[in-house]
Amino acid sequence: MAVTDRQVATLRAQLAGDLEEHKRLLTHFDEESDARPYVTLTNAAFFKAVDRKFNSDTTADDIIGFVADVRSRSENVRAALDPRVAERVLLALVKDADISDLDRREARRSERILLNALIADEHLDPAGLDEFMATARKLADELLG
Amino acid sequence: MVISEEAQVAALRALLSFDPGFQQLHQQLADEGHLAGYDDLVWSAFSIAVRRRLGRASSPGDIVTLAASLRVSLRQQQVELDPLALEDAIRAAAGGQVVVHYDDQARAEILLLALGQLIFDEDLDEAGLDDFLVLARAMAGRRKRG
Repeated sequence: MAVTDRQVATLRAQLAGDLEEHKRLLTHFDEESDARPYVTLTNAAFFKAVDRKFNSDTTADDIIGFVADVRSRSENVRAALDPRVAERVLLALVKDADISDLDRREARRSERILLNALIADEHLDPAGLDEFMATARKLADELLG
Repeated sequence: MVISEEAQVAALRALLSFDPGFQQLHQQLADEGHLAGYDDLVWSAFSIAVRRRLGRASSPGDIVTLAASLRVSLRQQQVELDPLALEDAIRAAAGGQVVVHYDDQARAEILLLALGQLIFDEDLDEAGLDDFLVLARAMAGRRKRG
């Protein structure tokens, strides 16, 4: 199983802020064949985006500050992103913290919002976003075997 | 009544100046039945400190940022505060709408810890702290009178 061009285009549209296109492409998804690779691609993109933003010197305080910065941007994000979950999701990647007790749906929702924010902060041009998607796709394909 | 108010102000002053005698003064308030109204005094002090820090035109984002900043400072003393509960307390102090995320005990704890940090950040001298407590006592008095 490998990531398809359409799955890449769907996530790319989300990260480019083109939500109409993102939703349109999602409607063509087939639950059975698309769900696993798409979730893997999203996870890989989140991993890569976190890796580009944070490093081994990152502290829990830096993460508190980053999540607060993201939540301070809009009422919608504030309502949707629980800092108690978002901080732990980031700490899991940056500091290997255990999040096995977190609700998976809630964690995924946090990851999606944080991924959007991380990519928005990079101010990538279309070529930069393509390059990022290629990196995420490569990792996702490796994970899918 | 005046005696109990003065004892309350003295206890709060001890807390805000990191005087280790705070615990004893607080216990004394409880033992002598002088705790009634202490919550109002703490709330008033917190409210003034928040408004001084945020200014008049604070945005919802400013509240989130202040809560995060206080949490980061308090973590240096191994104090972890619930971010949503702290934001709620700050939002209420700034005059905004509040979604209650906490019980009374948690609220009291958050107010005292966050108030301590806000005043520490102000770096007040003795006279400044006295002036601050005069304002807090006056506001608590107004709250009591409705």
